[in-house]
Amino acid sequence: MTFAAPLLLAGLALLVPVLVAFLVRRRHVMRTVPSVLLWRIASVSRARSRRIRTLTRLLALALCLVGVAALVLAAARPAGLTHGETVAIVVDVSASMEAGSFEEARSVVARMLAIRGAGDQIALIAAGPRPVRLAGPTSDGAALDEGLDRLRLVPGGADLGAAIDLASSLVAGARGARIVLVSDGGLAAGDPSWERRGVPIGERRILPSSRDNVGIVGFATRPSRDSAGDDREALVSVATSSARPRRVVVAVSANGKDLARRRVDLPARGRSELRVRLRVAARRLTATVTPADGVADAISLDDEASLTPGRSVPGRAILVTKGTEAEGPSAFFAEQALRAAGVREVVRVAPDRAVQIVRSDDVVVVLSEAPDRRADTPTLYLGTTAGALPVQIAKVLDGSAGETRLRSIETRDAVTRGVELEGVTIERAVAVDPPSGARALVDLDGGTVVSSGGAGRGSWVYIGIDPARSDLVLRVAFPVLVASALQSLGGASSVAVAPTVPASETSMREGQVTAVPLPEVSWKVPVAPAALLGILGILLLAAEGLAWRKGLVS
Amino acid sequence: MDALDPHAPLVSPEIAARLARLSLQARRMPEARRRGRRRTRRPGGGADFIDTRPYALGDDPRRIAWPAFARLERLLVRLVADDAPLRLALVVDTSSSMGFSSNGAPSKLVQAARIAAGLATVALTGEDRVGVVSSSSTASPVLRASGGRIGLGRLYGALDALAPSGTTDLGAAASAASRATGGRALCVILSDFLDPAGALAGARAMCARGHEVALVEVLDPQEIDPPDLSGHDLEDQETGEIVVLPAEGATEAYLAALATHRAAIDAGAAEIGAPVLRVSTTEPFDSIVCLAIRAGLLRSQRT
Repeated sequence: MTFAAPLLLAGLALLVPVLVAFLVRRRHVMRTVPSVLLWRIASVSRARSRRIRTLTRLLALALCLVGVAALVLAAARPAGLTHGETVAIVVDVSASMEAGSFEEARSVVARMLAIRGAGDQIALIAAGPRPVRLAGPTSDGAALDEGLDRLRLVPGGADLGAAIDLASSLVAGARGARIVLVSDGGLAAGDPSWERRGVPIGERRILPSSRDNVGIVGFATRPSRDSAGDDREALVSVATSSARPRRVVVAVSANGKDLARRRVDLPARGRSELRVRLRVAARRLTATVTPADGVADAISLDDEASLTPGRSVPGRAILVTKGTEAEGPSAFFAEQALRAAGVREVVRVAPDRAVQIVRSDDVVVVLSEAPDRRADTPTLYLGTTAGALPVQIAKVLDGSAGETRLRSIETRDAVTRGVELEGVTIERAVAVDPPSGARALVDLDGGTVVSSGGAGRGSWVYIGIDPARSDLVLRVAFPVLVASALQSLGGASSVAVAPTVPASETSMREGQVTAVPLPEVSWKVPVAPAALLGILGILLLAAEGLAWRKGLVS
Repeated sequence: MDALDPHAPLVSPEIAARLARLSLQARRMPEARRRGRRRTRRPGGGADFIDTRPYALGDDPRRIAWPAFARLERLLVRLVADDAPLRLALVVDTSSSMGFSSNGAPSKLVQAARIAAGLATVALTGEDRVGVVSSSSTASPVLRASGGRIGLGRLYGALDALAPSGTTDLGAAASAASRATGGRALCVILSDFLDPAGALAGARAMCARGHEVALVEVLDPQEIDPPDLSGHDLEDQETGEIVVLPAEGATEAYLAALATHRAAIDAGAAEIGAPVLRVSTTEPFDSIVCLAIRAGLLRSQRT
């Protein structure tokens, strides 16, 4: 046992005056009377007999001595049984700890902090997907308590390897360095070979109260593959850790409104997927899973996943232009149309530099000449005839030959919906052969001049009407066409994936045990020893005072 | 007889002679209104003629009224009154507290035994029956005394031998009193009535059994007018209980409690129609007799 303020133990000398006060207290003269029946009304205290009074007085003395001693010991702050250790406590805060283990883990840590020695340095680390140092190494109780208060579960896994690395770096080389891992023993990321770090590691394993869990392990949206429009579909993947088949209800809602609600049967320790067609442009989608078979769900953190679908209009557009005088008007109108469509930033770049500066969330707009290789990003081609193209150029249409007269337009497609091309004067256009899987949207007499295709980041829209040799750029149809193309490209590029709890947490699989198991902390009282002693001392002295006041002791 | 001499005989011959001129008075028992043998209307073996009735098979032939047969030629049987003495039960509290005495005065038990002996003398002189019950928590022995000098001597001896022990338990004395007298009786309870279970517990129990009850409270002068015991520790002679008195005001509180206690006894006694005699251990016997006469327990015999 060590004390934080051992000098205060000198207060135990107070026991001597207490003892003396009991011994030299005023002794009353004893008189025998036939009956004390009528004297009781005037008495200040009573005892059943001399023997009981003696015992009562001895007990009162003992209580008083113990009470004073307890207060003195509390003031000296007993600190624990260890001397100058440096301990890093790594607490698994992954989602699987929610299954009845986390509060116990917190109380275990609280007990470890409470019984620490006066010179002990403690570090507190939360082992989530990324380790977080919550406190220490320090002996400051307030800092450690604050760190303990910040200990929270995270809806993710635990990289115990990284957490142990962090703990090792904090305590390595210190006197009595060791690491204590508080975990449920679930599957964790990181190198489990902890013994190589040179710091002894002990594990306090807290087993979950239940292993019956259902949760969402995957939630994403993407453009619907079997739809030509801007419809999307949501994919929900649900898994269970139960050793028996489970039945759950999966719901997908948008902005608080249910879009779909399905019953799903899950095989034992298996998973199932669900597809939901989305016909609305939702800003925020939420998927939830709830048990429908009456069996409890161990983890609630994995019961809900939310995502916001990607922007339909990219924030930045890379306008690929050679910068020639001939392209000047085309580039100007194209930039105006892009800004009208909602693009916040337009970067003009030459074809040979375009690929280098393209970011994953950009959209590329190519005028006459495309880069030599395609960037892995959605692309809008405006009268492009050179460079790497997704389409095969069939022929260049000349207006004087009557080949540029509008023949048909696909009004149901998202790109050409609302685009009015009647009356547009086209002197020159490029007819293309749409590849397999692509859609021909606008046909002139000479061939297809607007087409779209590809999927995801490889989606594209080709507009073969030369902006420099037509009045299309002066018509309302142009910004509408550009905006619709950008909408289509942006939506196609965004396969939005929701952050979900890792499947290893939902499935509650157990990991390898590579640390030395630690015994349980035997002290079960949830308050510090100093506070306990203080409370005990106050209670004893209060009881003593009450007994004197009530006349139970004389 | 010196009232302050603890070793004096219970009843001196002079006092016994004076007591012979007194008789017990039971308010609810008409037979106690006459000295000596009491008559009852119950047909029995006495000498006083009451009435006649036709002879029935099994009647004693000696009771046939032959003069009436001579006149009426019918067999009639003479009915005579039975002789029924008054039963007196003396319940003497022999708990430890009765052994208290102060300043050389006789103990409360000695004073109670003297009073009991005096009452027994009056009763036995009048050919009544007397039973003595010593009451405490340890035992309630019963002594039935017959009349005459021998019986009176035995009763004096028994009263003289009473010793204080145990705690007060007047409630248990009720059944013992019935056993002592064999029927309804005049029960005189001699006690300090410092019974935690209730001073009138025994009296009420006896009254419920049909006895007529009289109460004689015997206290030591220090109990009636105690010295200032403020700041003392007091130990109960009977139970060993200890009370610690405050530094001042204890005596006043005690006297108030005593007055309340006595008032409660008076009220309870009035409920059951019991006279109350209050004597101290230094009270002379003549004074006690006067108190008894005044309380209606004794009366002078005019005939």
